[in-house]
Amino acid sequence: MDKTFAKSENPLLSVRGLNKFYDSVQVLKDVNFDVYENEILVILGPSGCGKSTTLRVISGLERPEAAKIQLNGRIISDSEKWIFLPAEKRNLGMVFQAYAVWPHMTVEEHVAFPLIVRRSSKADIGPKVKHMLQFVDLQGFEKRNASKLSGGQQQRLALARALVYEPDLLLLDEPLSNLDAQLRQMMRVELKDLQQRLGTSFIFVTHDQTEAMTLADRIMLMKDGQIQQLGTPDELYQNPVNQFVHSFLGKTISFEGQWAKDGSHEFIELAGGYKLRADNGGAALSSKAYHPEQGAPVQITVRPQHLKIITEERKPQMDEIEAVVENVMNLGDQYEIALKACDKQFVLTVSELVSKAGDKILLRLEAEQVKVWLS
Amino acid sequence: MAFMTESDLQGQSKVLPESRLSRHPFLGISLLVLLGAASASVPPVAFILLNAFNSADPGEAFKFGFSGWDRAFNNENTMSSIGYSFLLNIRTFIGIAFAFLFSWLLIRVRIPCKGFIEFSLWIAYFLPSLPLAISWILLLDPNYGILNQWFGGWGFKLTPYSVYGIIWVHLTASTIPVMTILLAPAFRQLESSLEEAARVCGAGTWQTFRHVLIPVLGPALFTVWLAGMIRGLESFQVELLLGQPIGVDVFATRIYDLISWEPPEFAQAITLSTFFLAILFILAMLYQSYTKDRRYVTVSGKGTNFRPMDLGFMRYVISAAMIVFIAFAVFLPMGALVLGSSMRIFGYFEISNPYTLAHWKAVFEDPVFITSTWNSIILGLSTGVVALLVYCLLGYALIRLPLQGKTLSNIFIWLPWAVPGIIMSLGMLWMFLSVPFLSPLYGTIFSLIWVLIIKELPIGVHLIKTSFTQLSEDLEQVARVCGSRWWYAFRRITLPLISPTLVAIFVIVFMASIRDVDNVLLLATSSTRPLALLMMEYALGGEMESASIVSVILACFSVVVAIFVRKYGYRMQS
Repeated sequence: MDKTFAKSENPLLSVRGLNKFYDSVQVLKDVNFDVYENEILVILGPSGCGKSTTLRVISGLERPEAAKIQLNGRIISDSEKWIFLPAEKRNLGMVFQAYAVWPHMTVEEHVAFPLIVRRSSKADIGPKVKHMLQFVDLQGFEKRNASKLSGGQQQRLALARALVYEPDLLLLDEPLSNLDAQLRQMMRVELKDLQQRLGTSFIFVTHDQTEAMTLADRIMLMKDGQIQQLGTPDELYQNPVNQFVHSFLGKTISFEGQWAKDGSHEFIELAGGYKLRADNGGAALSSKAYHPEQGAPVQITVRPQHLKIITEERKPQMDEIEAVVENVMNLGDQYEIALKACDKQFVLTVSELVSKAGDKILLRLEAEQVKVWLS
Repeated sequence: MAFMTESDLQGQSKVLPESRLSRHPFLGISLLVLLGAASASVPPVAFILLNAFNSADPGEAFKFGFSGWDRAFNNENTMSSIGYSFLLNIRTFIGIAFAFLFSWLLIRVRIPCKGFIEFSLWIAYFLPSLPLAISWILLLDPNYGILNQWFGGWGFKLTPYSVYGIIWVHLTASTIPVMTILLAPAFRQLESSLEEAARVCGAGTWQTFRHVLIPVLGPALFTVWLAGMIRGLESFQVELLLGQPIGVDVFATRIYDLISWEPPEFAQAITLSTFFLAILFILAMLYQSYTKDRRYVTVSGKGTNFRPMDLGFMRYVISAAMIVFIAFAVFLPMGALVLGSSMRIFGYFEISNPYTLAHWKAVFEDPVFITSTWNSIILGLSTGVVALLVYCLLGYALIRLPLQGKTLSNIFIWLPWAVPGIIMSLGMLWMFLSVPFLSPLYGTIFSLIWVLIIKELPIGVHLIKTSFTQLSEDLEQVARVCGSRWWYAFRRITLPLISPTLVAIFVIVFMASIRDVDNVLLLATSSTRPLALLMMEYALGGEMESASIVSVILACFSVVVAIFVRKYGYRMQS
């Protein structure tokens, strides 16, 4: 699984100083990143964060106000030198969200199309099309009208069409979001497998964090037209650089509190007077650059799996908070309990039911897993 | 439940599984709708077809014979009019090519001044063709045309009295603007990723057009081309003004001539009409077989992914080119028209004091002008009101009620769309002259209202139907569940929601009535003559100053309507 990237080598694609406006709204703000050989880079983010626009700028379908983009050492866009290579001259592959299959063509015609417009010889086209259809498992459908295929087949056809001319880089714009959940899971595995067999680099845009975590070699998380963090899935999950990254990848629960000191011990005082260790082995400040003063307001975020329910009836100690069970829902093999603690409402999923609505319980926070953010 | 007898319950259980029975109460209304639709559109066409083999005149006893065919096919002028009709309609091919390019640029490409270009096309769309023909005479007349005077020294002279002149006037005044406006919605429905996918695969602009856009839009292109062809066949005024002086007759002007003779040559006119109806029938068949397996364009396009292309600096060049075209096609002739209307002698700039408002004064004092203006206003308003009522009833019945024979009703409703105006006019004339109880209507304004309601039936009912389809039936039903009666629910819920469409239809019908010449041509008399017809008579009688004054007035109407249409959002950009 683990791929190592020769990052010292020249990147396959390099994007520098990418800025894009729609009318007067800036949708991309100084975006910089590289894509290396044989990797899947997932651009992740909420809708409207600029991820699709980034992809469309790379493909040449959108014109950036400022950017220098190099592909395979070739400049494909440079706003300073007035260079802008049109989409058809970039040798990129692209798969669209709604498949974009042409309703008047057969499966075979689709896959042959990029070769025909490249003026390949007939003798060349036939075998390549056949091979590609085999590759995406669509053999036997050659003469079928493309719009008569199922959603999954249309998406595989779109892949075949984008790969048959061996593009330098494949761009995928939320390719799975039109498929149903089960098919989506299958296609995810297929895509990963396909990339490993081909060795072509993918840029994959999605708003689905599960898709990102399972597919990506590296994730680029975006918000409001800016890159929030770029790294391996593990890096983003374990060491988020800000609260947005932490809460976007996986569930988090957040509490308000303030930085406090008791002699040489530092801790965080949460609403309700509960205390959380903040010195060695305790909750860690995500930003080391600035050490908060006593009384400074902070926010903490913690993943639900790092909250442990304590059934013992006693006063809360260090790293513990008291919570009221507001509701219990039976999911069959699991229970969801709705809790309220430190003025916050949240839901925990447990496999064993130990309390009922109205009960007071203790929660233990694994302090070393807690992230602290200056508010 | 207590007052429901057992037989009632049994009756219900019988009715439910067999839905045909539950439709039974609507059988009467079904027949009514069918009859209504048929009686509106079938008679004029039926009168033409029935009398194609009648050698007698209207009102006389039927006399079977081929004399009409015989005379038509042995008449050199009639035959040449058929030839010229086809020759001049070459413009539909040029028009569709330009319309394709224009709507692609306007919808799919981000260009500056898009709003202005669109608006100008709408003005051209509503502008009658005759005023533009008049202004091109002023601009290009071989003797006094302004452009020829300016550029005459360069060694070439253009003239509007020519085949290319007629084609040019049609292309700029109507064919290109109308086709662009009709084609634009098809482009808007098409998901932009179809085009983008081709681009990224390596296809350039022309390859994308050829392999993707043209085939996918094929049915829409065919529809618009066919519409242009039918409108082209009925076009009449420009040919009369620019063609007849050089002996160019088309099918419509030929029919007009045949009917205006003393005594009228009905048999030949009917034969000629039948011939063209047959050609249109063949085209309709071709259209059917072409679109049969290519229905994707109407169903495609979820309209989700839609982003216009950015062409960089080229967008300024494109926008400038389009504005130059529009300046030449629309604004130059409109300016010339205003100029011409205030000249002492049309086209003569050299005389001392060439400008005067005397003609305006004379026209406004002319009783014929005043009568015609009133006729036009009465015609526009009453056609608008009656048409709304008729279209609303038909549209509502066809969408909301479970009627029988809907397909047939729809065919009847679309029939007038395919019948050139002059044939419609001839069919109606024949009907009024030969059906005794209808003959009192001839020569009254009711006959004009009737033909105009028929002519606008397809577009009017179509708009109403679209509007009702988009309006969820639940909205009406929930009002009824709340306890309101049908009429109250219709008035308080449905009517306010569809009122923008109603306003639009009223405006379209009003404008069509004001500018129409082809349909009312053979039905109007000196006492019911509307403005558009008066303008034509002025122009044909050589009173160019008066003709341009009426033209300016009609053009002002068009601009007002275009502004209105734009304001209420019936634009290319949804």
